Amino acid sequence: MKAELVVIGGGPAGMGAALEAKRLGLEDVLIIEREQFPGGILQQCIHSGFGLHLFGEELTGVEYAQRFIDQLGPAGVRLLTDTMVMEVAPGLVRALSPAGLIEIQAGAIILAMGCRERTRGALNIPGTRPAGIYTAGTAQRLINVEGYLPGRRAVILGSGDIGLIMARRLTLEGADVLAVAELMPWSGGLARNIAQCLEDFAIPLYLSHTLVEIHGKKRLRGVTLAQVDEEFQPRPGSQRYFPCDTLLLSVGLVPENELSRQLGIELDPVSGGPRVDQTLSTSVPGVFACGNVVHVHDLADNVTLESRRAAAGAVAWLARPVRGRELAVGPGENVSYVVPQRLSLPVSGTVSFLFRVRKPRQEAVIEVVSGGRVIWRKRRRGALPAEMVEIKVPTADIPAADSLTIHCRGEK
Amino acid sequence: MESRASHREVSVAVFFVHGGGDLLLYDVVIIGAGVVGCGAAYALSRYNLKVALVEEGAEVALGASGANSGIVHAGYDPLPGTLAAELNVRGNSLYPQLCRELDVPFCPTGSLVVAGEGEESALDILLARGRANGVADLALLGRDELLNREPNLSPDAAAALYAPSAAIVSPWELVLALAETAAVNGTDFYFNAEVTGIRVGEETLRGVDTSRGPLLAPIVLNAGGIKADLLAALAGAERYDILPRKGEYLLLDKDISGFVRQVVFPLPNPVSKGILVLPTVEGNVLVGPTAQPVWDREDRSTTGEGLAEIQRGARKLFPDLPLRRVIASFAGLRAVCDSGDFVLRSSARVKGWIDAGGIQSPGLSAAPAIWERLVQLVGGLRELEPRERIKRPPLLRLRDLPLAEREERIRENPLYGRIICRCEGVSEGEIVDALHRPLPAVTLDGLKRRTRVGGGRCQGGFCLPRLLAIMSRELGISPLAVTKSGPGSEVLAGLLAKGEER
Amino acid sequence: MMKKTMTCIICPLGCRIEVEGERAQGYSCPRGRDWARQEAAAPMRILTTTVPLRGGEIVLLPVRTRGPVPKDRLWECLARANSLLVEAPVRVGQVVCPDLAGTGVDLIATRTVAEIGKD
Repeated sequence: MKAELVVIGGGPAGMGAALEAKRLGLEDVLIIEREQFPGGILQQCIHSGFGLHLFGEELTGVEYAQRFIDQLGPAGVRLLTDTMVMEVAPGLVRALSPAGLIEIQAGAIILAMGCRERTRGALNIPGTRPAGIYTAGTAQRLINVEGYLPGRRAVILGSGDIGLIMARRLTLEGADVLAVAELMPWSGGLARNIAQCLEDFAIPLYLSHTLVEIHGKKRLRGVTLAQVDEEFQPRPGSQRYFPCDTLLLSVGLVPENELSRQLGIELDPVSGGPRVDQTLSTSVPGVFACGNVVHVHDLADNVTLESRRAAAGAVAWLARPVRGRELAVGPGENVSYVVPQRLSLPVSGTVSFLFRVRKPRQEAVIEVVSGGRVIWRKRRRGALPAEMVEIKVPTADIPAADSLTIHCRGEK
Repeated sequence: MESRASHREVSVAVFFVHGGGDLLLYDVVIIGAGVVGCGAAYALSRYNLKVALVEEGAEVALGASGANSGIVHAGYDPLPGTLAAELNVRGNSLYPQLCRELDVPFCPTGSLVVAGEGEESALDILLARGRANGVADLALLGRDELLNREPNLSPDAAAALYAPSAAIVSPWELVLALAETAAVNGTDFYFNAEVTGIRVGEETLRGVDTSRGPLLAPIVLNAGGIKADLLAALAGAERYDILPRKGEYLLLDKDISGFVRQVVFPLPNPVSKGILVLPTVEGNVLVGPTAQPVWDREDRSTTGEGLAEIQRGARKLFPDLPLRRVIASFAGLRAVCDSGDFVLRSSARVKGWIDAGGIQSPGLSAAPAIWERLVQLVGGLRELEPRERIKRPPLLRLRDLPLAEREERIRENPLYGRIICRCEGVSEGEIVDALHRPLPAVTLDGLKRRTRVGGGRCQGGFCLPRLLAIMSRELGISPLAVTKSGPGSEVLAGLLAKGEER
Repeated sequence: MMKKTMTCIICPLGCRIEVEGERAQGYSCPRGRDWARQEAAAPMRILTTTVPLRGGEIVLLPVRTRGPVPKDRLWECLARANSLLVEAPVRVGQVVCPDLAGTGVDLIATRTVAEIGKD
């Protein structure tokens, strides 16, 4: 089999990239999706909060996905579902499905595998290993897609958006949510989700708290939470036992880069995804990446926008497979990572930089620095670690230097 | 092809038909489905005996056999003259052939005991002990050769004792292979059957009572692991005491596979061999264990202190070990005997009672030699008539096959082409197979250990919903009845309260 | 007039808005201002949930109220939605329950689901 462009993953990133590539004139675009339906994780996101940027209306995740799914057929995007990519090399994709082994000669490849949730193991939570411990996303699938109630009394560890959303879901489906515990002194989720998922249902949020022990031999019997000090160590005497049969973990997402590693793509240890340029080109020529496989986004709309840039990058590369000189982009003060991690020269128009701050700032000043000189500066009302910051820098301001650094200064 | 109904299911059916009656007669009843119990069943399956194995859990290898380092030790550690020393060295020599026969992985990695500057003399003691125990090819290595073998080792490492005969195995795969082979050769397995009493009349064994009914037999082999001493007391046999010792472990992601190439020990301390770092046969890195005495014989919880101790220990040997790549932590209980050695004997007080107790480290290494002993002990009580032993059905390990060969399998069964576990690349076909083997998976944990499904870095997050559906379909049970590790560990609380007729 | 402080749920910004009578401050857009006034007077929410689906490729149909419903009637709306049983096929946007629990707001499907065995 052959395709000009193979897109690995049929979630919002993959569908967005494939549709954009078709719009830009590619003949033959193929999406490979491991699930039975396209849509990715959005198929279990029945809550609203999607599409405000892109469609100007508030949609649920499922509706947002449906808008793209409905375009695939008319646009002529080919779609292989129930198919798992096993091996990738530049120009070659090998996948398995119940129909057998599929080998595809690919002009260009876009990686859009999304991300997965951090698990208990990654947190090293001590205690027993009973049934009843789920990542928030697994519980979301069990409830919203399969129709099962995973438990009746739940504690949620981590205040990321999925955890907050699941606190409300569990409550609406008849379970008691006793607490949401967050290690940091601020929530990892959006303020509006705290309001409409926790406060609306009087679910307590414990900031600066952590889980210190899991109890129960067969099924979870309870958890012990404790307050933490500035070093994130439990404060003696602050332990509190919560009897519950369910623990949901909402403690972060990790880009899913098994295939990227196979390709030998350079990864950014902080974002967890491939290091890309402004066209979303990875370090391997002809291989692009977009969406949560690059870095974890908080809005599907941003994933779609990024996927379009990746499609444009792939289409341009297919027309003219050369790469210019590179300029490194790096995080500075109070910035954990920046995407893109480099610019391929020449650049034109404006360049979008996406980044996350390390600590919240009430009043933020964002500066782009090159060669010790501030080349671009903007004030901004507030910046939170939970929220991705986007700045658009006119390329006319970008000097032909070797590197750029992005800072987010300002008052606590 | 042979009938897919498992031996166990057949036996259980018989059991309920005759439940309460005294019709179930065996030649030998084995208590405990760990490496000793299942190995004894395997060893006895070469003889014309009717054997039953009772296990209180839902699965094999739920005790120390399923939660240990997976090392076949060379044998320099136990004190010369002990049973542990003798059987360790003998067991080590039996392993390569055993693993070939059972078709389970065996990786002869060798092992290193690493000493720092000024500590080298401690290695001489181990070397001398090893030689006294009859361990072959031990050698002392200097720093250069050491770092050559393990480039990531701490620069503080000055010398090491190298034992080329040390190896790693997958303890779980080994125990399962032993059990499955025993099962296809006629051993009846009774799971979720707790021993509630030992029937003794006129100082002679009559059988055991279990929570699922009585099993009559003139010989009972006690491989009860952490509870072996309690069972011996229940039988009225000679007393010994088991002091449970907890060992906690951290399992690291496969993506750092190759960081450590062999089993690396620090210098041993008076209680244990210390925190070691080693590869697993699956390609992960394993770190641990701690050695903490506990009272509760069911306390397999990990602790904050334990996990911190493991991290400290690991960093001492490998300062750059990426401990952030932890994917799971677990703990096992080692059955340490007050005598300090294995207890392998026929009771003088209760005729027909055989103890295999206190089998702590190097129990796994010594296991094949322990079974030899146990067969001798059974042979001392009755005549043994040899017979042919058949092999279990072969395992299909798709992940080891090149994609082209996998395609052939997919043509035979399209389910081999549907990948359910993205982290470990496990197909639906392999999961279905595991649910229909001689000793089928009946729990999610059992499925995970047989196929590695859900054992990777996402720890089952993506595949759990699909596994529930497959298990429900293949086992003919409600998804609500699917358990993690046996009765009481149901995964779901119920159906959503929706609609009129769901 | 009592002063009310709230977190705006209209967009991800999550502005803190203070409302006192008709006066609101802290919002960043007109939608936020209007939402805050409404929230102070009578809070409204969009309900999203699932209803059982018969004969479809999937067993649950995701649904939402077309517009917001009074927050204090959320449980009533949910109970009504939970009593429904929908037949496949369904188109996204299709009304699965008009005038949900007498709120005047329709409950609509948020996903297109084909009949099982058909595309």
